[in-house]
Amino acid sequence: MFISPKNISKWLADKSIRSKNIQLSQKNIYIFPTPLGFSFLCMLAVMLLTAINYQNSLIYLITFFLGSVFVLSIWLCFLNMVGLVVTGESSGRAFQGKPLPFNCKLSRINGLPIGLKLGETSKVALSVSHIIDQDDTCTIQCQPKVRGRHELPSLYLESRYPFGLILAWSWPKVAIESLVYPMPLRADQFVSGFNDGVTNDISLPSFDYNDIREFQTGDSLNRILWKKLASNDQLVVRESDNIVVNPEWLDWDNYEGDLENRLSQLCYEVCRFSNVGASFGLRLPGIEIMPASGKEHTRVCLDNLALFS
Amino acid sequence: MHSSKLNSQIPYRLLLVVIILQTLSHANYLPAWLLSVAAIFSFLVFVSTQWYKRTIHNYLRILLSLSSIVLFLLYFRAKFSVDMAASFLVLAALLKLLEIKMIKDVQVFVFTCLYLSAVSFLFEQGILNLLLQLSSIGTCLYVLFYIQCYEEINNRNGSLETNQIKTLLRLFLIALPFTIVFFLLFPRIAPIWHMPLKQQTTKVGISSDLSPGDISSLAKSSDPAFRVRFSSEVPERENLYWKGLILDYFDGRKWSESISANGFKSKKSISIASQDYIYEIIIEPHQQLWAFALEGSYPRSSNVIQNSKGLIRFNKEIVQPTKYELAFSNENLPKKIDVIPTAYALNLDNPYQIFTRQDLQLPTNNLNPQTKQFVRKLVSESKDSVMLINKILMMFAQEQFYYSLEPGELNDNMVDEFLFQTQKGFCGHYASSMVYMLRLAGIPSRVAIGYQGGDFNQQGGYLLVSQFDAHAWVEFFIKDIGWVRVDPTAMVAPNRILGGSFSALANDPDFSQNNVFTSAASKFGAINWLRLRFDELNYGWQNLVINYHQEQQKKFLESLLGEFSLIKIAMMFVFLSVFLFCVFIFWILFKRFSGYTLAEKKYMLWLLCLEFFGIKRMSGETPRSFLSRVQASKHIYLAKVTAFYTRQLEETEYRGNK
Repeated sequence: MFISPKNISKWLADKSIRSKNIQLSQKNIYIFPTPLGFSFLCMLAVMLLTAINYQNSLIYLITFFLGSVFVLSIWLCFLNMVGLVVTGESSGRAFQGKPLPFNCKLSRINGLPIGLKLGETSKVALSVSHIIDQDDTCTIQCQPKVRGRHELPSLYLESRYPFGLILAWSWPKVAIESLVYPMPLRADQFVSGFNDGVTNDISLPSFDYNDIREFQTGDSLNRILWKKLASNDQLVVRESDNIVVNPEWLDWDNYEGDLENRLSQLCYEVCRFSNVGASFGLRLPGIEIMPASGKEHTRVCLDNLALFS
Repeated sequence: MHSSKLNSQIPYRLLLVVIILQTLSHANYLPAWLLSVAAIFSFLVFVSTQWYKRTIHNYLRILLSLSSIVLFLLYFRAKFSVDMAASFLVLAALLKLLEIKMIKDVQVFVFTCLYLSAVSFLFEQGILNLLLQLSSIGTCLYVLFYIQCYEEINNRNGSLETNQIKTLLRLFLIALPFTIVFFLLFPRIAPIWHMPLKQQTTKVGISSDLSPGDISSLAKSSDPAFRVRFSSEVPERENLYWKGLILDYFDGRKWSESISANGFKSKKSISIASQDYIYEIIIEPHQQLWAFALEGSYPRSSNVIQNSKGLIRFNKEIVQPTKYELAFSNENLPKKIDVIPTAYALNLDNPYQIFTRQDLQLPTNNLNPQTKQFVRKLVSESKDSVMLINKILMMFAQEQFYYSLEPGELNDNMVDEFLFQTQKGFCGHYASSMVYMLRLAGIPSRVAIGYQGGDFNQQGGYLLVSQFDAHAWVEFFIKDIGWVRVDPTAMVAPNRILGGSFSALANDPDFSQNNVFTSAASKFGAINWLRLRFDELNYGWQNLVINYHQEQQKKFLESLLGEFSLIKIAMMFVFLSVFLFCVFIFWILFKRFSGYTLAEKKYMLWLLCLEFFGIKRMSGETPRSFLSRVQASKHIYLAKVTAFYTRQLEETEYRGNK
């Protein structure tokens, strides 16, 4: 690690306290000339040399004018950033290996800074006007390697307003948490090895559909057989009550492999059951979640899988 | 893909505006081919970016670049001059314009154009050029700005752009006082290394030799030559002979300077008598060393010296308007000689009162036989040289000589043809033929050239000497008196001396024919008035801004601070920075406290003071509970003051009527 303004500011910012709301001020905005700014200064130096060697008052005049504009643009650059409030929004969730979204809200009374870029690090900062939505919420995506609770490692904001000669940046330590679920994997995928990684579609293996009936108002959308609708225009549903007469227990002890493998398989099963709207229970060492169904139940199960240790 | 789609972030139109402004401001000295290259390039860029929305085809671009570089090399070869450097920069900017695809290219282009603005001031330092360059610089900065704010400008349709332009203009306005302070205070130092200064441009002005017709071409130009400000009243018009050069070598066709004038006299110890005339001249750049001065003047500023012939010379070639100061004492003024018309004895005890064999030099050929015979006859008829000179002058006055700008072609026997056939000529003809005759008669003599007269600008209080005031006259040497100035032109056209070229040539259609402005100016009062005001503006500009160099800066600082000393400058810097710091603090306090009542302001100010002692009010803490916390701490005195302010705050805030 060589010493650069970015690194020093990062090191300083890392020592500050994380908080839900951060307002940019002179305490957390860093300002330094960009490479373009340095080449501008070099050009000014050459201009000054020209003025001295030719004893030309007017060249002195415009050199000093451009110099003053340069210095004042530092101030303008700072004013552009100051006062911006960054708020950590409700956390997002993702499976391991998928991009994990962190939501943060940017707000300021007199409009957002101009030319603002936002990113997880200074290298992947994107123009805010591209990623901002109606509620001034921006989503930053990270790719964490392990499951569990994640805090946004760092948030990076920058702007080169007004001329691109000066860069103002900040590392606001905003508290944004997200959960990473285990990577869902089918049992047989372990046998064949860990090669193909993520399974993208989590669907059930084919059921023996003997009991199909016509759609009635009130039926769960999950039970509609969409394929039938596509092939012969019939809206039919599965009478799934028959499938799980007894609620299924997803039990830690029924799976093989190490901790992560077991969690991945359990995760796959949870997704499978919740997709068909079946009711299921989850047993982990020390944790037992009673059988139920629905989104909230699935979320609780997945959260437990994510945080299990 | 040999041409690609446009990057919509690049404002091509603004770039075209910049390049056109730059080409125009350098147009005076750029070679014609480069101007046409500029026109072609910008037209091509305009067509491809605005109509086809694509960058220029690669092959076309390479072809254009290579051919223009070849043209450049062929035209300039290896001669280095300022013109070449500037042309090179213009060409570089043009080539960059052709290949702009990315933001980086734009930035390089903008920087080149910013530097070109500086370069243009090497050639032209008028106010108009400054305005032109400022608009170019403004556009350049706006281009940089546009690139940064491109997304916002295009998302929020329009209103943001006008707001931002206002912000930028405000930024430029705030930059002005800083610029001025820097301009005034930045120490002016001597050039660090020598730079080629001389430009190859042919500016209008007197040249170092005189052949027939030289000055008549000058008479058609109303460009200013120099402007003079006198410390007291302006001398009589017929004494305003601004001598610049002495021509003492005649080769049969033209007069030129012999090499003898190179030795510089050591600077005379200057003792300024209180009755001395002091005058300062700001000369327009003429790329030469010579300065113009009234007879008998000695230099007072350090950029000029006096050479062995008594002429004033600059230290280096004049490439920008330059101020120099001269003085002469009343005793040194030329004295009128009654026996010869228009003759003035130049400074009786002048150290330069000698003549050399060079002042009798004549071409060794047998041209002009008629003149030779005529002079022989004159010599035999005259008792002494004074009589001879009078006879020559009388000849000019009595014969049918015309003062004219179109004297017609003269062949080998120049003097013969002029004196006995055409009898039409300009001051150069009269002066050179008279010196020729005097030398034939054995009287040491020489041609002096410079300017005569000038227009006094009443309101501005200065004398404007223009190119059409260029003049040539005669100096001869006679025993007992020394060098004498005589003006044969005054014998032919007295108006030329008394009223200037305007009145002498009022009926000559050729005069100022290619300067519509002057000829119109003599007709319409309003335009003449405008011309005078504009000239005043230029004079003030040259006086205050362009000539703000080391000496002027020292004078300015001395007028501000009294005697010049390091301690004072240091003190001024300390004072200035303390002042700026205070302004800054007040500004911050003002921002923080605006919108509060007086009691609140006092309370908050006290809170700020408490922070110095490490006592900080928490957010959401009421004044009362804060007070009890302060009272609990060991600072008893602070607690008392806090109690006072808290009570005051509560009384004003919670009592019904304030």
